[in-house]
Amino acid sequence: VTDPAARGASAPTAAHDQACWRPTFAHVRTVSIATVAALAAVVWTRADLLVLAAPFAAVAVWSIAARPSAAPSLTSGLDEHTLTEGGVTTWRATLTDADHVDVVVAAMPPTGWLDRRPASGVASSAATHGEATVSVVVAPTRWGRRTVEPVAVIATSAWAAFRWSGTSPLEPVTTLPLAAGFDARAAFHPSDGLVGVNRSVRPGEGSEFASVRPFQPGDRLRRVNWARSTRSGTLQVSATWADQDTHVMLVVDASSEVGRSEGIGGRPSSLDTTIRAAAAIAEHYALRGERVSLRVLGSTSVPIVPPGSGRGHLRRIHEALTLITPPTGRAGRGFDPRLLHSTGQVLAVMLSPLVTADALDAAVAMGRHGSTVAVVDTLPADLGHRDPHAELAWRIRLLERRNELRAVQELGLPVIAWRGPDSLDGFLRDVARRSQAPRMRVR
Amino acid sequence: MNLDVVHDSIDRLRSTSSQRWALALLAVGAVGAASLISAFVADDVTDASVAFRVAPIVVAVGLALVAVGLPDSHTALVVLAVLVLQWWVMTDDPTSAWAIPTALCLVGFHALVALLATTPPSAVLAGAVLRRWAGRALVPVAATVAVWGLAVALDGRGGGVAVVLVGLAALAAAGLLIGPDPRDRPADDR
Repeated sequence: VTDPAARGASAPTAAHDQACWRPTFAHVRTVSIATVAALAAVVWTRADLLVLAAPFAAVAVWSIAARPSAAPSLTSGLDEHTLTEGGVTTWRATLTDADHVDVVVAAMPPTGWLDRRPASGVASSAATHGEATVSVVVAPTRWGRRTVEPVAVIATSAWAAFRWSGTSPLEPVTTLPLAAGFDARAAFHPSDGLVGVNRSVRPGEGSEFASVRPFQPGDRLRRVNWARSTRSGTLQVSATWADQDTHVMLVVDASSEVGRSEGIGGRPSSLDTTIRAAAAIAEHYALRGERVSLRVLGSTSVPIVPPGSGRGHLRRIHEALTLITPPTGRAGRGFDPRLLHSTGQVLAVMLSPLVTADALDAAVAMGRHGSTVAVVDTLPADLGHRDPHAELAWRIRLLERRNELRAVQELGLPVIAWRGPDSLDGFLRDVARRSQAPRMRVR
Repeated sequence: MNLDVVHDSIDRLRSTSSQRWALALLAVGAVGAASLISAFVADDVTDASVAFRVAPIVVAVGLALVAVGLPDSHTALVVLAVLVLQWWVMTDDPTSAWAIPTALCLVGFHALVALLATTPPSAVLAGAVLRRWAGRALVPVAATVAVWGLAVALDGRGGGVAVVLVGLAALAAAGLLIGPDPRDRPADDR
């Protein structure tokens, strides 16, 4: 909190609720018992009642002597506002100018998908030299955007005689999806671009050697092969193959969620698998220099992320994924025709549990529009139904779904179950082979 | 009774930390001990019946259970009042040494309830906080023993007058304490 910039955290904010010090029930109790017992001792000349009153009188005197005179200043904040699932950050509150403050207690209310340590969300600290710091570890267990609710901070003086209370402001927390393990060793789908890391079938500007040929107007001087030119007597240049990238369009189906999410350490829902798989595929391709774009079905709050590559673009995709909110039971919103824009030479990877017709319709439309489409099935294998009637209904739905998937596969769209690393290898090898052959586009 | 209230109460009991259970048990134990001492002393000096001795114990412990459940309330004050009243009614020895453990049990109960009132039921207080509170308990212990020693020393030598004088001084001090804190006054009034 003292140096948030060094840790990448936002500046701590001063509490807006600065109440004054108020006597507690304990202080009223102390003074009352001391007074009444002393009074009774005087009236009935009972020294033993004075003995009973003595410790309370001592506590009362101590409490009054150590009464804080001014409200302390409260600063609070999170160390990190953007985390990955399973990561941890710390919420800290520091009381300064806290003369005569004895104990500081902070109680963080529970927030969904944010684990607190200690589990009660309550931290306490003994103040020393007019300063006290309390901290609660916050661990997000699921991707998304959430807020740490205002935390009540209570300071008490000696013997809990006087109490001061403050409240920390809301703290936003963005939890990026933890990318599932993914790797693809197969070749990539060619695109129209002339930038990237893959060798094109055409000569051009690139890094991979193709041949040595005579100099032509337009050739760069750094391409001149001086050794060969000296031997041949004519100016020769080293020609290269043009580098080429792949445009991977991730289509995330957020219109339905099947299964119950148990967070990063438990059983995932279909949406968890979808998001984490999308994050993994984006990470794999974007960091290799490929262009990756993102479109989300069933959610209007997530902007379309245009093609791009690199770490900055990957962060942009991950943050867009955190904007997805689990559906609240509404049916799908139909096929979005914007999906067909700029889908000419792309590798479209649709991630969906495939329980609604919208996702399958979109995949078929993209395939017919000329895109190479891979449909990744993210339906969990076991939903853990306990009700036998629900189990039976689900089995009937799965039979229908199997027929729907078979119909889609007969149209030439592969449906691949998400298995983590190497999930798409077989599909990508098929694509590479087919790219060498003539293709027919259905319009 | 509304079932939601029952479920909430059960959930709250389940979430209560073991440390808090221990502190609450200590507080109730202190009340029971203080009440037992008063009953024990009463057996020596009065011809009290069993019901006369047992009833205050049951009442005090019952109220103490409520007090540790509602530490941020005046219930603990009622418990202390019952205990002081019990001592006053059952004993008549102004120099009884049993007044010392009774007083310490009373202030121990008070401190434990005050500590419980600073945190929610599920909280676990830091060790440094508990050590600080345990360390400062020496002061009321010393004050209790000192006053008792004074009472014994002055007993039979105009002790009644001395008690009155000491009591009046204590009342004056209490009056000063209850009065407004000079630091609360505006600067112009000082």
